[in-house]
Amino acid sequence: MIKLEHVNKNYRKHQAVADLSLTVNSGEIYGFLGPNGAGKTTTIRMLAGALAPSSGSIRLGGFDLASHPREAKAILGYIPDRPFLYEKLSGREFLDFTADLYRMPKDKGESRSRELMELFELWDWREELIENYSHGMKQRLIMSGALLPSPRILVVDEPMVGLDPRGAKLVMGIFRRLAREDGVAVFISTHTMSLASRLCDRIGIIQHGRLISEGTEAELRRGAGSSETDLEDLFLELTTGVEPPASAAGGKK
Amino acid sequence: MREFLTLLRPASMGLRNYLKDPGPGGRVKIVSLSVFTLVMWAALYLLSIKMIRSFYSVEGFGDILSHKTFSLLWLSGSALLIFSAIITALSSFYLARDLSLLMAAPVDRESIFWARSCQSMISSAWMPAAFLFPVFLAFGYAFDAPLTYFALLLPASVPVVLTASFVSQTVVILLVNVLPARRTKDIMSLLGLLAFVALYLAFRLLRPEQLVNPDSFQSVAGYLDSLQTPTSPMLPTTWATDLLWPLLGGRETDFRLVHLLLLWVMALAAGLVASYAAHFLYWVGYNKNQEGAGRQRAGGMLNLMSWFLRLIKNPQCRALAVKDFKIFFRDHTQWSQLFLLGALMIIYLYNFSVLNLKRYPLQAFFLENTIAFLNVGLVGLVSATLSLRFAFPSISAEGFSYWIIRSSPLGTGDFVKFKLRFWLLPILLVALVLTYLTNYYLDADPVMSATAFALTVLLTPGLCSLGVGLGARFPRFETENLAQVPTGYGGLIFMVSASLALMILVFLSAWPVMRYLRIRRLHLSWGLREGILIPLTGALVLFLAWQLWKRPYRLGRESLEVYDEETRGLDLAEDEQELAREAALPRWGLARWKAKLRRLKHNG
Repeated sequence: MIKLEHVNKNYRKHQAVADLSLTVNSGEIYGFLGPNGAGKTTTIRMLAGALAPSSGSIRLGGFDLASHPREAKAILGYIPDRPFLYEKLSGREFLDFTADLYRMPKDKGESRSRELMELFELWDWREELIENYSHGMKQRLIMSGALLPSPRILVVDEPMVGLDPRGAKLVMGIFRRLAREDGVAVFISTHTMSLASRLCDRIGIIQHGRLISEGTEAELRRGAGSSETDLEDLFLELTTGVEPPASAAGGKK
Repeated sequence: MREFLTLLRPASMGLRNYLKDPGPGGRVKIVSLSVFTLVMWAALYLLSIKMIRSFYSVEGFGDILSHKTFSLLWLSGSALLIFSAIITALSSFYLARDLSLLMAAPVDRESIFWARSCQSMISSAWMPAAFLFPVFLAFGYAFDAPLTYFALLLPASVPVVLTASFVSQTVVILLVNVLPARRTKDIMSLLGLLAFVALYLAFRLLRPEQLVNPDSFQSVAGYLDSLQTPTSPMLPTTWATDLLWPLLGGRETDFRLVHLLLLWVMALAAGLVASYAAHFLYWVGYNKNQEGAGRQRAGGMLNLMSWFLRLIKNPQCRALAVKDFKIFFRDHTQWSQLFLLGALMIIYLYNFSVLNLKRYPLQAFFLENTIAFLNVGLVGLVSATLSLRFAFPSISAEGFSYWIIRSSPLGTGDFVKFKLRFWLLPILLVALVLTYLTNYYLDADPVMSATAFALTVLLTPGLCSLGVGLGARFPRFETENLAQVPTGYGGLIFMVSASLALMILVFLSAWPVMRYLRIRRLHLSWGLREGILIPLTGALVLFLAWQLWKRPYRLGRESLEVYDEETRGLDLAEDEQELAREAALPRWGLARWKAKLRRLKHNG
């Protein structure tokens, strides 16, 4: 469903992402881990079509993001880590806007808006302007917007930022259900190891723009030769002492 | 005191860092803005001298007129300062993002108040001061004032600024204890704008041109009488006038230093009141403001007003249109500009309605039609202004939420095209109404009217496209106040480009129009020269108008396609390094030019 082939992203001389190739299948939850500045957000932004790769290809649901951006983005739901929204719209108006932007039929858009606002406990706040929402409410509204057009692919950057434990549990359940029941491919970038461990079917670890390890948690452990360690220790073990490639050295990212 | 200075440090260090390293293109910006300011000062200074001398030369009441102008300058400058200080004080005391950090720090709240008071004073006073400084100097020069006048200008201005700022700050502290800060800011901004519009309309509708009309001598006598009445003796601006005016009018014997003393005592008293208000009410008001009262809700009138946008067939266009419409009318910084637009249109049309050209029967035909043609340029300027105020910031209006558009299935080209269409419609409508009504008032020849209409239809889309295109080329998604977007570097480039385009197109159309008027007026017959040159010029105008429509849109779309806020910073940093490398090469050497070309090519 998601296919990255030899993707590179250069900011002039600095290489933020280097020769990245990975695949996420339908119904799979893929965790993308890496230390700060490893290239996670750059990858996510490329997947969301907000940033073009310097070379390589990104295919979403079989559509090449560079040559068929509309078709590719039409099946994608993107949840960024920072909840920037149109503050002067109400929650309901934002979802109406999203429905039209994704060319959803009017009645379907309305019924799905209501369903998602109730699911994310925003229904009572629907006529309130977004500027009056809390950080967590904005994050839940962004999730409602991303799920509104029933995407086949969901790309999520730090899903739990700003959510209370109840909200976090709700979101985890939704991601799981989307993958298992609706066959949605979920790509999650996170720093929360426990979340990745509990939620993800496969994990990819990125360091200095390169994918240094990939597989199920058990496969990662086997690869590192330490079957008893938890994901956090494994992550530290894998990412400590990895030298940046020559092209990335001296970069600012 | 130490705390106070520490609290001022972020602002002063920010300024120092900017001056030390203004970023790529920053030095050019600083230099061009400095040159612009100097030119503006020089123009203001020379214009003021001319105006003061012409006022003074009016027999009978030249002296009173000059005195009143001088006093009015102090009064209006001070009023402007009070309004501007209220807005900046609200932001600095209650709405600034860093306040929660400062309130949590182990510093005295009164130190926070005084540091913010100082910052607010500087940011509200610099603009009126910058405009009035050359005018007051011009008064000194025009009246051949002694050095004392120039030496006293600063000591007299400072207490006026202090008093106005402290009064505003006290008002703000009191108001925020009654109304939420955000609502107060909206109300005050709106009141300020309405006051300006009312003053502007009142001044024009008073018909000052009647003062030079011999038929209205009776009313001038009455006007003169009213001018003799004194202004309020209790205002600091009156003391400032009374202190300096004797030095201008050559009446040094009337000069009293006590006015200066009064000014400073008043400033100290206002400061004391502000300090008491801050001591007792600042923290209370700050807390109240955190409780988030005065929420704005969706629905109501705006939903009714936007129903017609729901008729748009294309769902993506409909989504953007409804969103932009609602955001525009919910953001007071955007919709309140419609008042200015309304006032501008009323005055514009009023000027034409009182332009009685039938008084000159022999030249009436020529005058009316020449003015009707030149009016195309003026309407073009109005369209350019509207494009700058509304179309130019429309891309930046997406703000940090631009990711929603970028990750959606809406193409960048369609997005830019939508913005262009959304703003073109109202701007074109305004331009056509202005053209129709002015031609009606001028009683212009039908062919001339049709030409004016055709030129307006040709020019306005190009200007709007230039606005949206350059807005996309110089987006400011990070801005907090959208009204500031047109005042930036991109806005300056837009105004220069729009004026140039207007000049070229109006200049090109001038020859065929003048030729036509000459033939009509002198009843000449059409020659071969006209038969060839008029269609040729028409084709050239059409071609240029088409380019003006197409190219900026394309530039905007392409810029936005490659825009990314993360890469932007890095690219600019690289640019800076390349510029430094380039600067190290010999100035007129080939290597430097090659490096420059390489850099420009790389940047597209």
